[in-house]
Amino acid sequence: MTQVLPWAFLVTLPGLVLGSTGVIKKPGVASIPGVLTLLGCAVAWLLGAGQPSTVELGGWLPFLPDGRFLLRVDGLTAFMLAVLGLISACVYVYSLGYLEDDPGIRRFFAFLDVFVGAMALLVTAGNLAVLLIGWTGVGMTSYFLISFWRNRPGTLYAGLQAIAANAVGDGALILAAVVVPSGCGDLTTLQNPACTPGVGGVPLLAALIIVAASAKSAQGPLYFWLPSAMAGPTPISALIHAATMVAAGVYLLARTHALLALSPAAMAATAALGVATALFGGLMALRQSNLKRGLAYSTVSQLGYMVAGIGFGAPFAAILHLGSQALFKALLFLAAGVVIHALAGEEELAGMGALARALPAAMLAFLIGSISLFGLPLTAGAFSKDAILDGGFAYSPPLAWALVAGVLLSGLYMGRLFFATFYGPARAAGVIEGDPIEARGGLVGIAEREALIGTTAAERRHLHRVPPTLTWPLLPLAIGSLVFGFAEFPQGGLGHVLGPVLGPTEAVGLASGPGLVAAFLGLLGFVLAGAYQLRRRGAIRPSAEGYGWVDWASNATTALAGSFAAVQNGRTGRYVLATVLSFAVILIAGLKA
Amino acid sequence: MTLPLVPLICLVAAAVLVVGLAEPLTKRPRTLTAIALAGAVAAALLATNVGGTEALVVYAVAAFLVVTLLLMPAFELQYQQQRPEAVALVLLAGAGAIVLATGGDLLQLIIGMETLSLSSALLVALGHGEAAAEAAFKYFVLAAVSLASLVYGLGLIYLATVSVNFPSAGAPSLLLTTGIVLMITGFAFELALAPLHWGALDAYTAAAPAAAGAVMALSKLGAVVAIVRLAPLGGNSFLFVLAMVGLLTVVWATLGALAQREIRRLLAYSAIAHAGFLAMAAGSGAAGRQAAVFYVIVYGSTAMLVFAALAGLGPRPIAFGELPARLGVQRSLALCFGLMSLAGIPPLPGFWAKLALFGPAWQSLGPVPTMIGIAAAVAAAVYYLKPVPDLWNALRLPSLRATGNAGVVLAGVTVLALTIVPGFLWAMIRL
Amino acid sequence: MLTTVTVLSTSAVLFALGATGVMLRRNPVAMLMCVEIMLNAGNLVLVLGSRAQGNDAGQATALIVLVIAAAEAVVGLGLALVLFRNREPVDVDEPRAVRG
Repeated sequence: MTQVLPWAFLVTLPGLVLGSTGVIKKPGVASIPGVLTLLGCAVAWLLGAGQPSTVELGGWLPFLPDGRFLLRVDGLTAFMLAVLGLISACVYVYSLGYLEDDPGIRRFFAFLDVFVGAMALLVTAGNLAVLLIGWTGVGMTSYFLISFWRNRPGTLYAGLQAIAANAVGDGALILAAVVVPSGCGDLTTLQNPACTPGVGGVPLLAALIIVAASAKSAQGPLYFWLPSAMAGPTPISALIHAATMVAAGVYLLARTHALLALSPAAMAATAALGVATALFGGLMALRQSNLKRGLAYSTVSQLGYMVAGIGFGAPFAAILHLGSQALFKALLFLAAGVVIHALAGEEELAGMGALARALPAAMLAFLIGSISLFGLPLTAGAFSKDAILDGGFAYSPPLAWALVAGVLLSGLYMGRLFFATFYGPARAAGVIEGDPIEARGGLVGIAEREALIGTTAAERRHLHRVPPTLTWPLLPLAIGSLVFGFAEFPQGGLGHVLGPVLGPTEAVGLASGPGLVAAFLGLLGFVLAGAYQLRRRGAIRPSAEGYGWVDWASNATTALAGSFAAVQNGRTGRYVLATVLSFAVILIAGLKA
Repeated sequence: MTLPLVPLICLVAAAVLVVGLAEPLTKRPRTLTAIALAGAVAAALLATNVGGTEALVVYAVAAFLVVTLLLMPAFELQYQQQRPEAVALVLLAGAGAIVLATGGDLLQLIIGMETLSLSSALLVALGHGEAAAEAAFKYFVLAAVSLASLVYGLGLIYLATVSVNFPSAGAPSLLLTTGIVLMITGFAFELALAPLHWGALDAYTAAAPAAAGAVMALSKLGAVVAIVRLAPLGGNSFLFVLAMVGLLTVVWATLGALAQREIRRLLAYSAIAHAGFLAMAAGSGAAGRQAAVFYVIVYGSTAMLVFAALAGLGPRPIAFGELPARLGVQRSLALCFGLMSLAGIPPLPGFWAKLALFGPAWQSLGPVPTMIGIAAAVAAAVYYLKPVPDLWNALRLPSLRATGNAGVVLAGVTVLALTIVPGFLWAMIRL
Repeated sequence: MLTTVTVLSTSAVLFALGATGVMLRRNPVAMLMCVEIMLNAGNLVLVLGSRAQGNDAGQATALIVLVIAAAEAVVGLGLALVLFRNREPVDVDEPRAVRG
C-alpha cells in the first residue's frame, strides 16, 4: 500500500480509456472499479497498512526553484483520498441513474474520471509544481462539467464565473511557485526560514496561499462562483462543489498551516475571513428560493467554518469538519437530486412540497443530512463543529460566539429547505412561458413534453420513476453522516493518523458547553423554520438569478475590452501614424534610460 | 553564431525548384508537396553538423514547415494555380526565419527579416478574398517602415563601430545606442509588439489558417532569437523598456481579445499577447532570455496545432458555436488542447513556458510588473476557454476514429512531447 | 567641407521627412516613395561611415540595401495594385474590412 497510494492519480485512467473508446458498452460502468479501488486502498492505508512515503523524479522542470515531480503520501493525504474515493463511488453509481437518458453520458464520465485523477494528484502533490497541475486540473474539469448542458441558457456564463474566480487563485499559486528561493517548493518545508521569499517574506507567501484557498473554497468576495455552479448536473454539485474540489482550499491551508502559524496577521485574517463567510453564507442561504442554491450557500458557510478553524490554529478540527461536510453535504445534494429527478428538473422550492410520502428515502436522507449539518449531538457534524468551536474559544471568544450564532442560522435555513421541499401543500411552479420543463432538456421525453403543453401547473405535477441507483448511494453517506464522528475514538483513531501532519490534535470530546448551546440553537432553528414554513400560505416565490455586482463587473470588463478592440479601426493611415510615433517614443525612452 | 548554410541551401533550392517547375507542378499537388517536404526534412537532417542553438532553430523551423506543408492541400487560395508559389513562399519564409535567428552579422539579420516579412505578406495576400489583400498590404507598409528603421540603425552602428558585426559589449556611445534601439524596434515589429502590432493583427486574422500558423510561428521565432542576441548590448535600462513594452502589449492584447467573438481574430489577439510575454522574458536577464527562446518554441508548436485544426475552414468569419459542427472529432480535440495550452493550463507546455518566464521577471522587473503579467495570463483563460465546452460537444464518444490529417497529428505529437519532457527542450537552449 | 555632422544631420532630416510623408500621405505609391526616402537616408549614413572610417564595407552594405529596397518596392507595388485595382479613390484609409 505504501508504494501504491502515491500513484493514486492514475487510478481512473483505465476506466477513462475503456469508457471513452467504447470497449465497455454500458457508459460509466468502466469507471466504477477505479474509484472503488481508490477508496479501498486509502482506507487500508489509514487502518495501518501503509507508511508515509514519497515518490520523486528530479529534473523535470529545470526553470522552477523546485521543479521535481514530487508526490507525497501521509496521513492527511490518505484521509483526503478516502473522502474522495467514498464520495466519488457514491456519485458514480448515482450518475448511472441520473443521466441514463442523457446523450452525453460517456463524456460526463470521462470528465469525472479526469476530475478524480486531478483531485488525487492535488492531494498527493509534494511540491507547488505538482500541486498546480492538480489545482488547475480540478478547476478545468469543474468548468467543463458546470457547462455540461450547453443547450440550457446560462450554463456557459456560470462556468465562466467559475473560471474567473479560479483564475485569481491560480494566479496567486503561480506567483507563490516562482517567488520562493531556489530549491524551495516542497509543501512541507515552506515554513523554513531558508524558504522565505526575498521580497515580501512570510506575509507575502501566506497571503498568496490564503488568496488561492479562498478562490477554490469560495471564501470572501470570491464566493460568487459557487452558487452559479449549481447550473451543472446535481451529481457534480455533490461531488465537486460540496465535498471535494471546494475542500481543496481548506486542504491547502491545512497542509501549509505551519507557514501560516508564523504570521499572526495571517492567522487573524484567516479566522476573520472564515467567520465572516460562515455568517454571510448562512444569511444568504435563508433567502434562496432554489433548492440547490440554498445548499450551495450552505456549503460556502460550512467552508467558512473550516477556514475559521485553520485560523484558530486548529487544523485538525478543520479537516475533521471537512470529512463531515463531505458526507452530509453530498448526502443532501444527492437527496435533492432525487427530488429534482422525480420532478423532471424542477429546482425551485415553489414547485415542491408534500413529497415526504412519495420519496421517503430522499426525505430521510435529507433529514439525516440536516441534523448532521446543524449538529445534533452524536452526529458527525456535531463532533467536528464542536472541535472547531473549542479551537475558537481558545483563540478568540467573540469570533467563536459568532460561529455559534451561525449554527442557529444553519438550523433555520436547513429547516426552511427541508419543510418546504417535503411537507406542506403540493405545489408546481411557473406558467408555460419560461416554464422549467420547456426550458430544460434531457430529463423529459419529447412526447411527454408535448402532452404537458397547455396544462396548468397544478395538473402537471406527476412524479417520475426514481431508479434504484439513485437511492442506494444515499445509504453509505447517511451512515457516515451519523457515525463519522466516532472515527476519532478508537485509540484516538483519526487524530493518531493526522497528528504527525497537523500537529497536536485537539481532543474531540463528546460535548462541551458551547457545543451543547450550539446544538440546541441548531435544533431550535430547525424546528422554528419548520413551523413557520408549514404555516405560511403562499409559495416561496422564485427570486431572480444572478448578482448585481458580478454582472456589473462582467459588463464593465466587456465594455473596456470593446474599446481596446475598437482602436484597431482598419485604417492603414492611422496604423502608420501610430507606428511611426511609437518608434519615436520607444527611441526616446530607450535613450533616456 | 554562424549561418547554417547547408540547411538554408536545401530550403532555398527546394523553393527555386518548385517555382521553376510551377507549370507542371500545379497539376500534381502531391509531387509538389513531396519536393517541398524533402527540402524541409533534408534541412533538418543536415543540421546535425551545426552547433547548439543553430541546430535547435533549424529543427524548430523545419518542424513548423513540415506541418504547414502537410496542410497545403487545405490551403485556401484565391487562384489554385498559385499553389507552387505558395509552397515556395512557405519555404522561403522558413529560410528567412533561420537567417534572422542565426545571422552572423547585422546585415544578415536584416536580409533574413526582409525575406521573412515579404514572404509572409505575400502568403497572406494569396489567400481568398478582399480581406486578404487588404491585410497583406497593411502588413507590408508597416514592414517597410520597420525596414527603414533597421537600415538607419545599421548605418548608425556602422558609423560608431566600423563594422556591421554585432557590436561588442562595453561603454556604448549615443550613436551606438540609438542604432541598437532602432534595430531592436524594427525586430519588435516582426515580433508584433504593441504599439507596432496593427498590421500583424490584421494579417494573422485574414490569412488562411494553414498560412497563419506558419507566419506567426516563424516570425516570432526569428524575431525573438534576434532580439535576445542584440538586446543585452543596449544596456540594462533598455532591457527594462523592452519588458515594459511587452507588458503593455500583454495588457492591451488581453483586453482586446476579451471582446472577440470570432475564432481567428481571437487567435490573432492571442498571438499579440504572447508576443508581449516574449518581450517581457527577453527583458528579464539571462535566465529570462533562455525562457524566451523556450517560450517561443513552445508557442510556435501550439500555434501550429491550433491552426492545423482550423485549416480549410474557409475565409468567412466563424463564430464559436459553429466550430464543432465544422471541425469533426479529431480536429475539435486538437483545437481544445491547443486552446488550453495557449491559456496556460498545466500540464500542457504553454503553462511551463509561462512559469519559466515569471521567475526571471520577478527577479529583474520587480513585483508589480510580474503580478500584472500573471493577472493577464490567468485572465486570458476566460477568452481561450469560452469555445471549449462547445468543442467537447463535438465528441460523440466512442467514435475516436481519426479523420486523417497528418499535419494535425504531427503538431499534436510535438505538443504532447513538450508536455511530458519540457526539460529536454530547455537543455537544448544554450545562448 | 562635408563633415560627418553635416551629413549625419542631412540623413536625419531625410529620414524625418520620409517618416512625415509616410504618416501624412494617403496614396499608396506616395507612401512607398516616402519609405524609399527613409531607406536612402540609411544608405547615406552607411556611405558616410565608410568614408569616415576608410572602410569599404559600408558602401558594399549600401548596395545590398539598395537591392533589398528594390525587391521590397516590387512586392509593395504588386500588393498595392491588387488591392487598389478597382478602387476609386486610391486612398489607403479606404479598405477597412478587417478591423475590430
